[in-house]
Amino acid sequence: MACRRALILALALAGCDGVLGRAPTPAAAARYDMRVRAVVVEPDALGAAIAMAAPVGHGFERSAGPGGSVAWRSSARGRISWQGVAPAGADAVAVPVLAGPRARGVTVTLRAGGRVVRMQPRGADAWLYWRASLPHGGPQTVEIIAVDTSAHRDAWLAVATPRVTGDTR
Amino acid sequence: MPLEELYLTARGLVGVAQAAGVAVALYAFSAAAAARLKLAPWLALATGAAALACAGMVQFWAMAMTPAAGAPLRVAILVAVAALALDAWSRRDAADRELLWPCALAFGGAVFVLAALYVDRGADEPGWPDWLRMAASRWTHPLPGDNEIPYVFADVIRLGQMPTPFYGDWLSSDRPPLQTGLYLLFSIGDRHVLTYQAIAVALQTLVAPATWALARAIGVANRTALIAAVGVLFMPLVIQHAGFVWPKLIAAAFLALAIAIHFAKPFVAERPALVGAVAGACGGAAMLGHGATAFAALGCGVAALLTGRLNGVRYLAAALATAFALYGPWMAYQRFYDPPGDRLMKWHLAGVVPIDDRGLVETLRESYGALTPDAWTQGRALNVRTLVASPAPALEAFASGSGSLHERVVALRNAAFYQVPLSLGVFALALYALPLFLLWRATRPLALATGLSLAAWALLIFEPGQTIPHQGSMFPQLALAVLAARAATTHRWAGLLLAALVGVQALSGIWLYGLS
Repeated sequence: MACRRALILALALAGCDGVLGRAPTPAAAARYDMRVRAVVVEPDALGAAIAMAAPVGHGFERSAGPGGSVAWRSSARGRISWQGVAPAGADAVAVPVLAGPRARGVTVTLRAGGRVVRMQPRGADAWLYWRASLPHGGPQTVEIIAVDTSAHRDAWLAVATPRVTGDTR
Repeated sequence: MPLEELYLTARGLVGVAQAAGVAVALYAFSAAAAARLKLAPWLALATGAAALACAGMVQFWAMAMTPAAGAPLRVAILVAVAALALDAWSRRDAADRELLWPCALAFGGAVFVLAALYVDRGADEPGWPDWLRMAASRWTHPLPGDNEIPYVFADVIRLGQMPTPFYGDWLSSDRPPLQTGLYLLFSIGDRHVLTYQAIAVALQTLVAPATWALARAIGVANRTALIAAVGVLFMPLVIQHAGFVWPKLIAAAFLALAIAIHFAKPFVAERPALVGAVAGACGGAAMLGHGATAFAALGCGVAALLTGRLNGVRYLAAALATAFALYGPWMAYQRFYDPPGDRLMKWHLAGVVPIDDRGLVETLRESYGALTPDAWTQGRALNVRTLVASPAPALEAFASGSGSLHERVVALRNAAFYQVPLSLGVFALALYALPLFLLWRATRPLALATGLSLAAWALLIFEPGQTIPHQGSMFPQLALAVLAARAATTHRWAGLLLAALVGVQALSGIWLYGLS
């Protein structure tokens, strides 16, 4: 066990930011979802909400997210950029995403610490907490870019206030 | 054509183009090996395949360390592949021309399997077909999601996040990563599952060039070796497992290449370190393809000892060093990163399917401790009977006319899924003729390796009656086709008979799996 931790730490210190630079995440905290082809966070593993500034863009309207949080929802075409700062110690960010049944034309992109990850959400009947790992270190600026390029009525997208996972005390 | 269908057709064509990349890369590496290292075409093909496996594993480990390294590395490798392919095309010497056909067969086989799976099949969900589930239920009863596992593995590597377990209750360390690495290497653009499916099918159809190389290595003429490779592509076993892409055929292909070198007749005595390194890389790649390779590797190892085929110290040292260099990092991953990674070994060797905390040795001790010698002997006897079970009952049921034609076709495909002789198609004759191949000097080493691979499987698989195709290595099935090809070189009429049988195999394969 100690050997395993030392190996992963050594890889992380060597600048390895892929899976080998982090210990695997237990299933109780995260799982891979084949439908959206992304890793999602189980609701019980969510940490604090990230304070977000008002989004910049068009085509998205304010609505209610999970647990009464703020969410932004597209009804036709639109694009918003939404920024906040994740506290030091957070190992990942969980972005609540809800989407219509038609996937084409809707994407959510997350930029954090020089990393860019993209997700193409698909219809779900409940909020899904999309997990993206954060680079090691201090506070990180996170930017969520939600894009809906489809006018189809089944292609819509909502993103809500992101949460962190990991020890942020 | 509705927009949705047009989109799916375009997607399919993009997938086929990416599948072509596998065959082109094999050709490019092989032709370069033939031209620069002055190797015989079959050995050059093994060298090219070893280079392909190494490239896939470099891509895998680089992305496991830093996902951002994936794109530049992929571009660099694929540009090198394109340059080598163009070089070979402009050169087009005899070796390049000889290598073209087996590589083209791999691509042709992939196109056939993809067409048989998807053309005119509609979709489970309008507008968003679940391609992998379709492949899992196209020909037999619905199979589990094992064909998705390498895709999900690639995706979590790409995302830089590793949930554990990462797929159902499977750990990432439970399934070796070669198919994942090669998919990461060849997938250009987004992460569409159809791209994965096309590339993975093309990787499974590498059994065609591997069969060709094995046949050439034991002295089969080029044309007969190509006919055997075509016959292999239309084996029920190959069509089924090339479409349902759990990585069993890719492992068999690499093991066949390692065995081609080790049991070549005559043995390639020049540059033993290079030849050994290629054999070791192919063997390591086979283990990185699927763990069930171990059954056949053990049988082949014993055959090598019995026939005195050790091929010298430099050869052996190079082979072992290369195999360890390729497979060692994966062993470290299993041991240290996502342990224990022994689920399949406990399943196959100790008959323990539920997950528990016991180690492999403890599990083996307890499983065998609970078994009486009589029960063990009866189990082994059942394994042998299952292995050589006559295909007649299934064929008679098919011919009986009871039930609709579709029902009978599905029943026959299901039977071929579970029975080794039926899964071989016409090459089942070679299975029953195996004792004769053991008596014939020209085929004795390969026949012994094949027979002992099957024997190791029957002896070691714990659960009685589990000598069914997908529970073991698929190398012996390829070797049987090669033995048949060797027999076909004895007389002109034998060659014609092989060609006729392969013709029957192709037509029945197209009808049973493509049109029904």
